Amino acid sequence: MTDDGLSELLKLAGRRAVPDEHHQARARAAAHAEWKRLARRRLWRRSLWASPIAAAVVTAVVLPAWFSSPPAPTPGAGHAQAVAMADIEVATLQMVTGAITVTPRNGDATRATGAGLRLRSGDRVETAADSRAMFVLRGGTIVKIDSNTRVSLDRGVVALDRGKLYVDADPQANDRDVVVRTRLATVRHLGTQFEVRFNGRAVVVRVREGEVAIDAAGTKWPPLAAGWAMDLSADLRPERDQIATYGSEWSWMAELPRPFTLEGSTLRAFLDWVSRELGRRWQYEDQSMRERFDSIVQRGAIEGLTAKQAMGMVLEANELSFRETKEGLVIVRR
Amino acid sequence: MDTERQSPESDRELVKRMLAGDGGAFGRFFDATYPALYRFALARLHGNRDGAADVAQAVICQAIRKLGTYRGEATLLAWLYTFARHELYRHVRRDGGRLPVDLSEDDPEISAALESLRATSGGDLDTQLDRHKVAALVQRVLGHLPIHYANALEWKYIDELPVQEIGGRLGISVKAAESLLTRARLAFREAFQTMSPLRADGTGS
Repeated sequence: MTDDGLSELLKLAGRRAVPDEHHQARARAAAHAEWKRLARRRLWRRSLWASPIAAAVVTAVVLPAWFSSPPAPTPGAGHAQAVAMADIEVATLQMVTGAITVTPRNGDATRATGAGLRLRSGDRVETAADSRAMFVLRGGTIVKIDSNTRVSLDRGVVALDRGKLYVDADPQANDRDVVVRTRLATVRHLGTQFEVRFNGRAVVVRVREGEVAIDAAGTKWPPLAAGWAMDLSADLRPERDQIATYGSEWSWMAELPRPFTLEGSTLRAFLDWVSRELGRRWQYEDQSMRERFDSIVQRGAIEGLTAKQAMGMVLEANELSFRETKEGLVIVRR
Repeated sequence: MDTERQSPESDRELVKRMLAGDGGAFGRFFDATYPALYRFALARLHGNRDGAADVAQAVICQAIRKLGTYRGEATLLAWLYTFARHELYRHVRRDGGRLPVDLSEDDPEISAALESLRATSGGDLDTQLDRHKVAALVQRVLGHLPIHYANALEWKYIDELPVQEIGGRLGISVKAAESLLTRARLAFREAFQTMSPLRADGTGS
């Protein structure tokens, strides 16, 4: 092949296709998130092997810093961000297990996607029988959706078409006006953790912490407090029941732990996070442990673990353990 | 995968830096591989840009998760293409098999066209082959080259940039750019011959 022949071939082929900036920015964010997770996991493994476990005042921890902070701008994503903002970004996918699909309002094709995707107003998120997803709204509120669930997003509104979702509105979250809307009722959080289930015929609201306001067909029901559930069928006759705020009924959302960075934080902060994830209070076995809980700085990563798995590992590294009682978790010396 | 060269050795070093948490290495990895993966998928999804973007993103994320298993026995790009083939199958299955996807390195249509050319040996490429199919083959060949080789060839023969400017874009001297272009041409010829049943001069074997 002569130089001219090569030139002819290349001219015939023309320029190579270039991915558009939006796709590239999205992929970069997702890849960066994967890479951060990988790097932290390896860092933690190294630190674990580097020090004898018996001397492990130093512990492990998990979820990457990027996970707990608002999504960082990605290099070279300026244009993509501008485009996304025009469509109103309302949330960012933080964790996905299995395959989920996102269908944009503009009618673009439904696409399978993963963590890192910025969700925009009108996007519909759907999980399959073997998948779940967690996203964070712009103000910081966490929304977890169970398998076989479909939700549509708008600014301040999560419309539950079917399935189950769980809202974890941290007191520090900056979107107090978020509502969950179903065809039968609208649920407004008042600083809380709660679950909404909707099967097309009835809506069930279960409150784990704080309280929620429920509005159905123009009727405002008295706020529903922690430890209570309300079942509202199409005839709008509510039934209230007391419920446990922990246990198997709350286990699906534990598979999608709220972002937490323990690197550099105290054991107390870690246990507060565990407590919120499990819906269980915690206490020391005796008060002499108090100082230790406030002073020991945790290190490492526990990426991919549930709160309960992480608790076992972190307590072990601190030469501690726990037992479960009716009142909650009691942290004890080993 | 720096701009000077791409080899399993340099790829191993890049991966090592990424695993050590080097953000610059991540940036170089992404910039060098994502566009190539996108084009790889695009060619096999018959121009479906959204599908190609989804596949490329899924592949790059999977590959990062398994980065610790990269041994440098092949170039990083070749390693990534193995993930891409699996992901393309998955993508088509998820899509209910609606999208036609071609995963063979020898596209049957291209092969048929090239076989036809072979039968009439010695003919002119433009007149005897569907130009579109040859273009697709060239794109695939470029996709298998190190990204800076493909860039350099595109800049030289499509944009007709002087070697000095190509060197400037790559951050290397004119002499190094000339040397790189020589290697790129050689790599293109070799890849073209490997991937097509044609001889590079347009005749059958």
